[in-house]
Amino acid sequence: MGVKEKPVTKEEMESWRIPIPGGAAIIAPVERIAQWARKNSLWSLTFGLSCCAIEMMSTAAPRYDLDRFGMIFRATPRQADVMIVAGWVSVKMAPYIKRLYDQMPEPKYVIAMGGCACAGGPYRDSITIVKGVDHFVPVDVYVYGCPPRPENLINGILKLQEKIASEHVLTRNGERGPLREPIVIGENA
Amino acid sequence: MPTPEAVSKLQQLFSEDQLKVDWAGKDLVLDVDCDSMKKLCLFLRRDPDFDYDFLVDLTSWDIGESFPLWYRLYSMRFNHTVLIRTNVSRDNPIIASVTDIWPGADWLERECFDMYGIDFEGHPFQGDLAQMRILMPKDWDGFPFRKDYEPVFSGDPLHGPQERN
Repeated sequence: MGVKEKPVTKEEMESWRIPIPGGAAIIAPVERIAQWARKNSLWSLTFGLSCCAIEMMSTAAPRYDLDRFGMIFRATPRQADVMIVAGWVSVKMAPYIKRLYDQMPEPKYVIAMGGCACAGGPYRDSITIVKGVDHFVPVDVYVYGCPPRPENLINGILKLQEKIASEHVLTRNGERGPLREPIVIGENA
Repeated sequence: MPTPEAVSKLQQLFSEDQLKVDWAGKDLVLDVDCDSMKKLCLFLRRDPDFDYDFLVDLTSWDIGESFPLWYRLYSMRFNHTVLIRTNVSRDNPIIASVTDIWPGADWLERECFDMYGIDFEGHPFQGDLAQMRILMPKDWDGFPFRKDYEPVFSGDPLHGPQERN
């Protein structure tokens, strides 16, 4: 009676957790399998905004063949894993891009393709063009170029696959892995 | 090329200061007063000698004191073209809509409203700012093709222009 109890701190809570013997040996292969499955079946949302979309289409076409990387274009955001923003985004278009992004299930990734989607490009002084899609969606990979060559885009996709392979798949409360620096492709190209 | 009789019919209907008839090659060029524009359009559509049944283009620009408004009409039957030129004052930019004559004028008039703020009286969406906007977002401030337009920076990329940098 009258004794004030000390509140349970986070450190104390952590110290109570007892690891399952051999747990890491069980979890690690499961995580490896899930990472492998995720990174090799990146379905991309089918949409193109301007001239970069032509280059994106030619990347998907037989000569460069995105199918080699398990990447096909899916025409619904509900079954897509990655969004390639290919081209400039106007102020009028931005809410719709945001809505498409919100409709995609986790885990979801964004590749900003081309100078306009990365930072506004030649329209940076324009009042109607958004200065980079990272103003309203989180971007994982920036692929610079005007437009970037298909090799550049494939480089970005491979870097994204590396990033997915290094992410923790099993996290508490559906958190994504530790936040990393965004990957920038072809900045000085 | 319209016959001289048809052109004289046109000149009888309108006074000198309402309408000036000119020729550019084989095509008529009509400089018309802003108020009698609708009357002229109705006449050109109804008269069997003209029969302009297709509105090719409707465009405007800013010259400072007023907005010139050009209508280009085409007659499928006679293979005629006519250019109607009129001026809308900057202080009171109101002109009669021609959507009831050529329904295709709807989007062209909305574009003129969107860029210059010219009010088309009788347009189906007249007075409804959000519906009249066709190219700009619905909540845009101002008319961006006017020479004195200054953007209002909202800073929010989803609703308007951001700061210049």
